[in-house]
Amino acid sequence: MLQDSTPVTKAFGHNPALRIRSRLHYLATRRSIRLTSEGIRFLLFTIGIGVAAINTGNNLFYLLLAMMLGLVVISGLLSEHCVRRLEFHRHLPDLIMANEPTTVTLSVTNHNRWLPSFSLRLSDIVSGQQLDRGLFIDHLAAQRSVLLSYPIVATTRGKLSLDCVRAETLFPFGLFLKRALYQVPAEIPVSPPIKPVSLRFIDEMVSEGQGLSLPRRGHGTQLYNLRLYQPGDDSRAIHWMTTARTSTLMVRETEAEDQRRMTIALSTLAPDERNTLFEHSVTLVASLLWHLSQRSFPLRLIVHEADSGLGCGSDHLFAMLRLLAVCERRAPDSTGPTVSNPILTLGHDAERGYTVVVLPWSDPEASAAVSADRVLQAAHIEGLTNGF
Amino acid sequence: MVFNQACRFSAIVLAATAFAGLLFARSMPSWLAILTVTVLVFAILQTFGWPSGNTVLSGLPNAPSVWNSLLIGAFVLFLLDLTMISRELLPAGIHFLVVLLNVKLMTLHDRRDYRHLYAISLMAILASAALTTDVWYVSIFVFYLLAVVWSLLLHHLTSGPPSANPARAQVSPRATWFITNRFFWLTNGIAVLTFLFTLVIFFILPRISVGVLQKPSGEGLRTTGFSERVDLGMIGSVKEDRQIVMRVELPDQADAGKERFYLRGLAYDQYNGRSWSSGSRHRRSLGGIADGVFAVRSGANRNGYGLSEPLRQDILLEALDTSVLFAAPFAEYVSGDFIGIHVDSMTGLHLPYTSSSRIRYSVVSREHRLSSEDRTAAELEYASAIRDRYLQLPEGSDQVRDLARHVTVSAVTPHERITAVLTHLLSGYQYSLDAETTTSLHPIDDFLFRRKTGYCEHYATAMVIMLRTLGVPARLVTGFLATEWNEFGGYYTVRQRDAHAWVEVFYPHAGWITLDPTPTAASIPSPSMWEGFQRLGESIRLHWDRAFIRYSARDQLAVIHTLREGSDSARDAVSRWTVALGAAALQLMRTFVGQVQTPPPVMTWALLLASVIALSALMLAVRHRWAPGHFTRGMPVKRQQQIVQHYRSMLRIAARRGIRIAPSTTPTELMQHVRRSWSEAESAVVELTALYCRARFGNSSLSGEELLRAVDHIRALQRLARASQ
Amino acid sequence: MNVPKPFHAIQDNIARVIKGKAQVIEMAVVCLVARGHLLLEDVPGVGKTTLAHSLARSLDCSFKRIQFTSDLLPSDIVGVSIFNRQHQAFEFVPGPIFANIVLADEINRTTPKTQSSLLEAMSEAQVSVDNQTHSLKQPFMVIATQNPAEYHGTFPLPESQLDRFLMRLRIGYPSLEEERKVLNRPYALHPADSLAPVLTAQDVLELQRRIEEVHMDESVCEYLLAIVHATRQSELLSLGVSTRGALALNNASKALALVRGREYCLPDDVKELAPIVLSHRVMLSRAQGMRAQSFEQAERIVLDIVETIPVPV
Repeated sequence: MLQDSTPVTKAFGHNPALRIRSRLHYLATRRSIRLTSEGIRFLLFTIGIGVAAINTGNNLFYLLLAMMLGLVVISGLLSEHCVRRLEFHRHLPDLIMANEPTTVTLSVTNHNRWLPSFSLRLSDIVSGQQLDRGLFIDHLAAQRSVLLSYPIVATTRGKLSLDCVRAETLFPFGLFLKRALYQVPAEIPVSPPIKPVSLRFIDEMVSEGQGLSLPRRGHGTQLYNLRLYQPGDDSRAIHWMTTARTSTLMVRETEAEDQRRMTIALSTLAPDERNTLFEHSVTLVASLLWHLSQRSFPLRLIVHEADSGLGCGSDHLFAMLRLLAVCERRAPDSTGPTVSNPILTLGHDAERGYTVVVLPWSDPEASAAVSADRVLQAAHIEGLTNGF
Repeated sequence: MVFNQACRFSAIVLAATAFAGLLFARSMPSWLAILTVTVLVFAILQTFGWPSGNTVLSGLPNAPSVWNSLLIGAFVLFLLDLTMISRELLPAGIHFLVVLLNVKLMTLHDRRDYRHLYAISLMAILASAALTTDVWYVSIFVFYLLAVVWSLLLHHLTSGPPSANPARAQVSPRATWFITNRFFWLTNGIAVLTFLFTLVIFFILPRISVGVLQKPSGEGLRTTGFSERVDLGMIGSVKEDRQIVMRVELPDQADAGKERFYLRGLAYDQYNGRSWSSGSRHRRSLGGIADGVFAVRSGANRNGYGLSEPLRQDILLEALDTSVLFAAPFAEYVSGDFIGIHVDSMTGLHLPYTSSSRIRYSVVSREHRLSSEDRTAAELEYASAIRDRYLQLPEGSDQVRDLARHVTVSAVTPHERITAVLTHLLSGYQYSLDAETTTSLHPIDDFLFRRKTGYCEHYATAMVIMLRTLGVPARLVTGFLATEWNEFGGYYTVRQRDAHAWVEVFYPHAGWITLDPTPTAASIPSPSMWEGFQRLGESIRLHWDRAFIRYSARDQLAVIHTLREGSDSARDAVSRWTVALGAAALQLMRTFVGQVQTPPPVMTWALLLASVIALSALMLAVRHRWAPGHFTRGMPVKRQQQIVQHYRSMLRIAARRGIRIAPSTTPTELMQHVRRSWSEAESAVVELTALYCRARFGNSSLSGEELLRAVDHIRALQRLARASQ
Repeated sequence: MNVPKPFHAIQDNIARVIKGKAQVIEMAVVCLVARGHLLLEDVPGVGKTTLAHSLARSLDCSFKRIQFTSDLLPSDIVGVSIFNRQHQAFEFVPGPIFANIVLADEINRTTPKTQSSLLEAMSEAQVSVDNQTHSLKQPFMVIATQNPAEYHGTFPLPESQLDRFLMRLRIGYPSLEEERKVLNRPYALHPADSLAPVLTAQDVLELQRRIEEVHMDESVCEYLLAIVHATRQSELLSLGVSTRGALALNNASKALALVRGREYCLPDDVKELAPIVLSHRVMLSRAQGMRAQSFEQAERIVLDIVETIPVPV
């Protein structure tokens, strides 16, 4: 039974011949049977007995032939029953990093009323390729579900899409391999890997950023100053230890925290031959964001036209990495790189904090127009990303 | 039992079943059989771990080289066997197969060995199928099927996940699972299903007869008394032989089986004092009037003889060493799977060649009736052809002549004379099988004057001679006298010992009339229970033969034709069959109970119905164990088991109604589901759930009326469920 | 099932102020009865403060609210020793934690140091300041709130500390009907002020004691343990539910049964409470990549795990 024929009708709605053909193709890919080596031997025996039966006309031979054929029929029925009415759910992370193994979970539910499923081997189908994950279910009782997890590794940044799940079984006699295909599409964005960036560079950036803003009094936790109590000061700010020591009321002042924010902008313009450099730049930006986020900097990322906004914390980092995962390199075309490139309008102000622009490639006039606290050009990028 | 152990055990049972098939086909010497049995027993014991380590058996070398050399030795023996001892492929092959089986049983280690064992047992069962057609093969086949399903299933389940390296033996976690009740019944269910499919496929498979390598199965039975020359005393030699020669059904007779039935074989007209022979060797071929139907007499009754009603017989004749076809006197039409039939001058039917297998044919016969003229005529005129042929007498028949004259002194008409001779022979002599006639020179004189004891040949020969001396044409007929009626199958069982000789006398207006001067033998032993069982077994064997062994393309076409003819005839056939089955069952009961009256057919139907109901009730009771989720450990051992049962039945009703219930559905969730999709049942479900929760999870017990209320709710739910369907 | 009168009273009372959140109110009451602390994680403005306030007002208990900011000090919570010049000694001024119901608003805005001072007081029911131990009032319940949508300047509670809370709930937006009723209500700055107490502290203590008498059948206990065990074995979780978590679920189930007027636990109670009580006690597997909204993820995983455990029939 075609349980979900709507994709077919959607795809090929109006042309009936095409629809029939695609439906047959659909059916063909949904179920298939292969012979195992034992199955081949079994069939050879059956053919042998068949030939003997036809030759001698002995009805007992026909009986044995009927038994072998009956076993084949039963095998087909039972294996079909095993792989039908299964339901698959994937539990995927929302973002994974390239080259880092991640665990993906598949929940398998057996919706059969009575019969359990045996010897199920599950594999992913990714863009037509079957990937064996080593998932094997010995026995799944009727109406039960089981969770299986396996590691996957994505090698390139972008989107990882898992299309289908194929369930195959050798049950009941190990003669035939019955396969069924289930559509369980899923997509995970793959962020660029986090690589170690030279600490010196980061410290430079941080100190520059801080250097550009003088520490001042404000709301925060770091101690800035101890001074005498003035009437009107918040009594909670009284530093009692010092007060007890000096017998005069002393008040603590803290340093303003909000000067440490940073904005990083990445230009996505690059010709085809600069592709590796572009990818390295993306990795560099991701790593910078990671390291800065570890130091609890509020960060903001601008990629082409996407703006992550200012934030901090791991969730915000995740959002920024997701932006980086889906960004695509644009080849510069005749309309010119100067069309609505927000990078160029970055200046320095308290709102954005310390601004960094990463330019893997640019037009000479365009690069002159860029103004930011720090601009990383191709050569510098290559120097930083040497080990990547 | 653990899966591993069970796999091994089922493989051994498979081998044992195949071996049993070969054993019952009587195809191996006893020493080999005993050896195999010991090996099987030993293998089974080993499965259950009996020889624990230190005994002498662990000293048996496990090295493959030893076993391989044994195999080579066995192969050499096989070649010897083939060339010198048995000289035929099949027996030698079977011996080799059994030796292989033994070797394999001792070396069952990894999965490949198991597969080899399966292949060997398959070939063994094939060989036993080639050797035999007996009905016990059914039981062997059924056991084999069961063992195959178990073995293959366990073999698959003890295999681990398929790895990249298939040769490496995988230790699967499933190998240590236990065989639970559920698994047991599941596998048996699979076996039953396979059996049903096998039957269906068997009856559907098209039978193509391309007999290239046909080998005649078995030899024909040796018969006596149907060759060209019959020596006196030949029939006596088979009087103790219980071998079945044929089975005769009288489908048109309602009350068959009450009388003895004569089956005519051949007639002889020339007697030389010691043996009978036929004077003429002329045979003519019968013309076929329809497909497979041959007419013995072309056209209707030419001679104007008075004929009795046509009597139809269906005869299943074993493979004999004679080409004679037997039939009741006198055959008019013969139909069967024949190429041609010959008839000789004395209406004896012959096949063109002796048949190498059983044949089944139908004959329509009509007896000649004595007309009133022949009875009352003072003188009978015979045609010269008859007189020339049938009045031949051997030398030295004067004494017989005198005796004949003496016996018929008071007879007036020829018919009375014939009757007088008949009566004299019937009453004046002792029937005995002991007569030693082969060495005597004048056996008939011995019989008539000296010994005065003899059996059928003597009586018949004497009568023929006496009648011939009186000028009455007569001839000797050999055939069979069927007395044994098998009430289960509805047929006469004719055995070798029923071979008989009698007389045919010629009347000018009536033709040849059958007369039997032999007095009826000693009392037929009353049917004992054992004989009853034997007859039951016989009829089963006949049906097995008809339904399975003889099932051919013709039968398939017949089935198709019957189906096409519509349901009426099928229904008739089915009702007839069931009535016959009921009658057979009643007969069986009768032999046990000894009742005399025949219960009306209603009873048989009632009996059948009752057994069907009992069976289905049993199945329903067992069906509870099939539902999933019922094998919870730690069932509360409280008095609340009833409410739990009610709750479970409520779950079943809801599930049947279409509400999806997973094992993780709590009672409250179920209530919500019911509220959403089956709102009429909501109140009953809510109350029942409340009672159940209170009893099951709380510390309290339900009172009697609360339980009754629960039952009411269940009934209401069932009514609602039925109403909504 | 007839809910006993005291619970009915509390729930109805609170429901006069908080519309349409019967489940949350019930869970808050269960938390109180089970001697646990409640963590409300939700967007601002859905009535977290109002709920805590209403609960406190329905019981005749003292209520204190602590607004957590990033500059809050531990002393601001537990109290401080002030040097009294006249007596030449340090004097302890108790902080807002010395109340029956404490609302810790936006607990994720403050530094971990401050957070831990609160959490330690919660678990030990006493406070040590300057070598002196002061025990907290009984009944004592902390309702903490977290705002998950803000990242700027927040210090989300680490998972290991979340264990101290019995339940983690979301209030969520009210339905359209309920919201209309809220808007049509006459304006009140503190809507909870209109409530009158329906129980005293002694009543609450008595109710808390009655949990011990709730009967939990062996099968339900096994069901609970099966769930807990499954979380430990699941590969999606790097840390399953601890024994403290199992105990918490046990207590909560009994409390829920009591609140609903039963003297015995049903598997329903366990199943209903499992995501609420357990989803903040588990840690998602580290190899999971990064997940946004881990609250939903954890809940989903716990629900999936619960669905694979068969309910005792």
